[in-house]
Amino acid sequence: MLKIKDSSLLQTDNFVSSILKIAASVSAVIVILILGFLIRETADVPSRIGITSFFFDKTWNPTESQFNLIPMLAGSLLSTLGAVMLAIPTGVVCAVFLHLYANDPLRFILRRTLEILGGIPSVVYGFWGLVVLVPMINMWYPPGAGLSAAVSVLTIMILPTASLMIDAAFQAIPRQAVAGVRALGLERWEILTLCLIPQARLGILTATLLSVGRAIGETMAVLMVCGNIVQFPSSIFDPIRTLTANIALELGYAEGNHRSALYVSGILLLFIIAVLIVVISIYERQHQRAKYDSK
Amino acid sequence: MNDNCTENVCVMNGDPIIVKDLSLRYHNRVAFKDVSINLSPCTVTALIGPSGCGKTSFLNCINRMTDFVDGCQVRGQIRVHGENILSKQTDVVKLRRKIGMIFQKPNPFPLSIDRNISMPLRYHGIKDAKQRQEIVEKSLNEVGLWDEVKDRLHTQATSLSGGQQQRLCIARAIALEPEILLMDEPCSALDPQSSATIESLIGAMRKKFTLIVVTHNLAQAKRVSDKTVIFWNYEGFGQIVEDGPTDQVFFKPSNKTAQAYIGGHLG
Repeated sequence: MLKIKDSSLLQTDNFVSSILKIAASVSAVIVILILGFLIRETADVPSRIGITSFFFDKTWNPTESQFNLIPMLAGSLLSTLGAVMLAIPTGVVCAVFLHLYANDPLRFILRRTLEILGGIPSVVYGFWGLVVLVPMINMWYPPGAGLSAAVSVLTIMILPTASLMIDAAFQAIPRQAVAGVRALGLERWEILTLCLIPQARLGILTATLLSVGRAIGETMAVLMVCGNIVQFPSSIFDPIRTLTANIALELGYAEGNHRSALYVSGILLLFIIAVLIVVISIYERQHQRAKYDSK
Repeated sequence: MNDNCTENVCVMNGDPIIVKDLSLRYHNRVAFKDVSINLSPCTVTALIGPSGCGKTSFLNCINRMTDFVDGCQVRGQIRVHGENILSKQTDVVKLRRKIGMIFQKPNPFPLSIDRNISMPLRYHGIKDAKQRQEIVEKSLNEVGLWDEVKDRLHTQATSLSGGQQQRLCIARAIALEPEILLMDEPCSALDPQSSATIESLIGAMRKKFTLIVVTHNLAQAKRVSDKTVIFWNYEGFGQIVEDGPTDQVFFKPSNKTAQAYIGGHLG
């Protein structure tokens, strides 16, 4: 006779579920703690410095109580924008080549290479930029270190991961969707335009936004090649300073209002990332709903 | 469904599709072996049999979709208009335009209803937008979808119901004016009502195209087809055990396995 305990499975399930709940809450709690810390450090900033100072002061010169973050915000946004605008189209081209044109051995080698490139620490890219790229740009457009060098290094840095993410989005497309194009007597270019790009739109957007997040948060590689002069760039060869580089450069000796201002730039970065995540999730939800409606 | 179909004369010109000693293997597994059969033009041929007996693989040979399956080897001959389409010289792109295919799950492109039909036409060299528009309307009419979608041609095809999506896929295929239409279980992902619509559509298209329909549904095969071919798995690989006019296959099958299968005792 087979004996079946009727409560045991439910107990195991409850146990597993509570462990998972704890694990999931830990990561949420960490985010809340970081945010709480930043808010505590900057709670009295409105009264001490004033919010408008960060946007309307003459310049960034904390020792003289000048706290304008705009040039550095522009530096962060411009270098990120440039890098993403270069990396995403290139990433799509890479993924298309991998998916439709490369043969099996080549595809295998390229995928592994991209994975390795994606794993190289950013400081190494920065180092390469400093000793190779900056002197090269310097030959034509001195001083070399500046927005263009930052954009180049960031592009090279985010390209492998972006390509792999887009490649994964292509791989997730059902074989039958591609077969449907082939069955109409159409070949690779048509597969790309009728099937891959429209089907992988969400994947490409996600890759774009994650790349933005990575580029805007990058500190070391950019710090090494961007020139670190606080100014609103007037050409792509002008030196810039990004928000992240600024924190890394000045936190060591900053005190009082200066220190608080750096925390404010931290909140600003967190805010930009949060907006990005909200945008992704809204778009994903709409996409899901459109899919659900079609059923 | 629509008068357009019945008025047209079949484009196949009376040539049958001659399949001779066709064998297919995936790596070391033989799917079917030494299949020889003549498939009549301008008729509906149903391919029936249990799962894993090579029906779908057989269908995929006819428009060379087997080219894209890893480790798939096809031997033998398939002659359409006397030409062996399995030969290396065959222009497969041209071949697939002549031999359309409908899949088990509707697979419209994630584009508008209009572009689902007009984009393939454009890629096949019909540059005149007005002419494309006429073909779109004509094809949608032939599948009985025009009246349902004419006011929303520019909405996403994926917003249509499953049955409508499948009819759109049929319209997309017949817009290219193929001679042969291969259907791989075209109703198995649909509800009974949509299935009935597709079935009557198959009936209406039989005069114009040569239709080869794979189905698991014996009753459906009996309803829609003129000829029936029964595949069966013997000694580890698929082969044909019975073929002929549908009435004969269903009421007087000569083969014992076929008798048991039709009678519902096997499969």
